[in-house]
Amino acid sequence: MIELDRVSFTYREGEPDAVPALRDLDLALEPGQFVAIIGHNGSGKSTLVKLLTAVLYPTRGEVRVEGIPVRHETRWEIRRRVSVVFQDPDDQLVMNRIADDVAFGPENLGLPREEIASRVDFALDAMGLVGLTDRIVDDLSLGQKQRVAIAGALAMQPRFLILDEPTSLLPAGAGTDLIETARELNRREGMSVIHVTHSMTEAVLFDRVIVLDEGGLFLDGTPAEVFRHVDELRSIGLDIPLAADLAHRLRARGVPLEGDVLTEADLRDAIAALPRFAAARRESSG
Amino acid sequence: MTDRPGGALLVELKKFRYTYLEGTPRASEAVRGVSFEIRCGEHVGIVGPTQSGKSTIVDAFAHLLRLKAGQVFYEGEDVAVPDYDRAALRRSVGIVFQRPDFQLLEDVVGKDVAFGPTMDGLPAEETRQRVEESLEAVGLSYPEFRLRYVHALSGGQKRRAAIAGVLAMHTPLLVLDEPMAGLDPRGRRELFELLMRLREQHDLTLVICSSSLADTSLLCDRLVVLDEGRVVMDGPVREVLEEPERLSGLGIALPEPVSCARELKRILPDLPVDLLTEDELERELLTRLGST
Repeated sequence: MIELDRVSFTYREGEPDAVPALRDLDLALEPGQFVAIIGHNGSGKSTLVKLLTAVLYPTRGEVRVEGIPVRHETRWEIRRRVSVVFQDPDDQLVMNRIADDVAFGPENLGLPREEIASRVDFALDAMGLVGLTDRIVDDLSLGQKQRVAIAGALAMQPRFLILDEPTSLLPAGAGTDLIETARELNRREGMSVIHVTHSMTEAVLFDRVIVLDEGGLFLDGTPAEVFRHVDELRSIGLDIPLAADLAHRLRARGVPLEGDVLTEADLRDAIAALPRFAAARRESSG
Repeated sequence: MTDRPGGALLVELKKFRYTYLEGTPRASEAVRGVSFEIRCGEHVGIVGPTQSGKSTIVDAFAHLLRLKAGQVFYEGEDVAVPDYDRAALRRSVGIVFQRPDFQLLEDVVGKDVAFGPTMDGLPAEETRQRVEESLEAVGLSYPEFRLRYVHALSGGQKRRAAIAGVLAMHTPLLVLDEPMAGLDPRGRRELFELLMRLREQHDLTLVICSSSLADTSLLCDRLVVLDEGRVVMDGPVREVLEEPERLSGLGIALPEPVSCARELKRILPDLPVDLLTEDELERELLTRLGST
């Protein structure tokens, strides 16, 4: 469990150019959750990630990870429980050989050799990198590098895995594949995944969506609950998935679409269920 | 090719092939015989999945590779012959690379944008004018950003500063490699509007490389689709979009309206898929579902 109690964070606190980044944020992330955190640049997403990984400490309020308050003295205990993968894998890949890079974290924990080997095998397998163990990191595509970075985080066996905009540099298909892999890990290993993104289309794939704006909580709920607020989301500069927006527009023009429409498949089903349309189809087929 | 502008021939590739580390055990063939031409004033999207050869082709435009003779021509001249003026070529071909950090060289924005014109030997006053006009063109106010540190800019601002640096060179050809990668929705919208404005300068030839059709389909008139170092489609945007199955099979992200129309076509068989905007799709749906 991760808990935030009225957490505020201000960069350069007390100075004339102080920048408040988070304001009185209350939040609880249950173990095993598959959560997306969205917001535009400057909404507080990155600051939140730094607080959860003990890179920054709250100006006011308290962050707790499995009951342990995030403080300078507890930073190693926190980082053993929370692993983070950044936007640009080149920022966190340190070794030449893939297997060495993935082993880097567990080696620093001083674990026995066999334990390290089994963690590396597990992580490479989970990320679909088994055939690439001996390859050189620099020879990989960006998508493959991102997978190596995540494998490195997994080898730490964290309770919480934070993916900080890992898909924003990847081509579209690779981004979706990555989220599917994370979902699989979440299901199989019960690992909490916290995915930070700008993309509403990605957020739809998660169980819970937390929307931040100006350092505070803007919306929090299932994707269906969050995407009912099309106009509010747009007012804070976020993109609405086209299918959701189109359903909104068609309803405004008198097309009685039922149910929550988040994806293209939802829209197809909602149109197929329209009484006139269903009747017309029966006619044409009969 | 029907509605191609009749401008003069600018760039021509003739069976262009390129192998990295040729003759070594790590040799990899990136481009395998690509032929196409780009005329003055065209807006061309070069799209393909990663490793399809896009960036190699971009590098070839400015002769940043060890090219063989008879394959790459600029204004009708073979750029690979020994006495070709490469410096002049690089003053004509402006490239904005995928990562702005690779091309921002100075500590403050104004100095960085001035770098090209200064190296070209332009007088100080003219350089200053170009810096001002280029920064304003990309939406970075000259008085506000001139002295800002490059490292303190956001991703979107860095990308725009890099574009300003290339615009300041007044090159007839502007090439952008994955300009939208890594930007948030707001940054993307701003850059999109900037590129739409650049399109209006009718003497500028624009080439955009991307693995996604989301923005390229609106910014370009013609698409050249690459796969594994070969051209697999080349034509007007809508003509290319008529084959969404083929495009997504190549790993190219479809524009949202096309992707959505493709899904809806399963229940509305007469729905067209070569749609560029949400408005077009909405209109098509209302004529089929509307309560008139």
